[in-house]
Amino acid sequence: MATAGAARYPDHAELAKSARVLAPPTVTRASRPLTADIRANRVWLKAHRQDYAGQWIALRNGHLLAAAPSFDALVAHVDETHDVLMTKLPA
Amino acid sequence: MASRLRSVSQAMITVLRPPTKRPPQLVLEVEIEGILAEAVVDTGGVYLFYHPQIGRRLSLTPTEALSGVQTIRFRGVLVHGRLYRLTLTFLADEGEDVTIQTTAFVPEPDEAEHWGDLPCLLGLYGCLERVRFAVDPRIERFYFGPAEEVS
Repeated sequence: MATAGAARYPDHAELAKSARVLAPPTVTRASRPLTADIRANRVWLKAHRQDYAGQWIALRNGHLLAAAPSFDALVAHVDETHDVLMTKLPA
Repeated sequence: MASRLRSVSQAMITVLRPPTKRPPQLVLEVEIEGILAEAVVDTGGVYLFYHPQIGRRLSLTPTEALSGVQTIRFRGVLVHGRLYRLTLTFLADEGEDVTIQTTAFVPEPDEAEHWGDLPCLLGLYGCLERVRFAVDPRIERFYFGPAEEVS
């Protein structure tokens, strides 16, 4: 009903929100172009997690771009964040 | 049976054993709204809990939220945040990626200082329940596939 209402009144913000909130969740599967080398990141983390314990790190394709004590400091060191894994390694 | 086996994807998972008395964590690399992140598999939890600082990269606005500000007790601490519908992709080393829509709890930005070392968390309700999954901790593999293919 929410979807029908939103379709009939496309400019109505509340109806649009209701349609989005109440829509059934979707599940899709797809082969991914190898834009980010996820396996390389995982291998790097396995080898170096303890070396950078307690720090924020930025990884791209298994290469360390930066390490910093805070998220803001890390972001300041990374120009392009596409395909970059940023995570805090537990102390 | 053969078609079912073909539909299962795999990814490396890290069994993280903290030096303290805390229990081991299963850490997975995923993509949330196009942003790569580490996430802990938390079958006892609810929702996708997004890291408050990484969440800032999404530039979410309250008008996009599914809810107003809610308070959830999280590991003994009251955390304020809003619910959003976010896209989560399980990234496969073998097989196909699986993308689901999750109900995600995004803490308010000022909650970051209380968050500690935790990455994002993949809870069961509103998140993991939307895929089939299994874990083999001995060889650190996470197996997954879309839930609706199960008859």
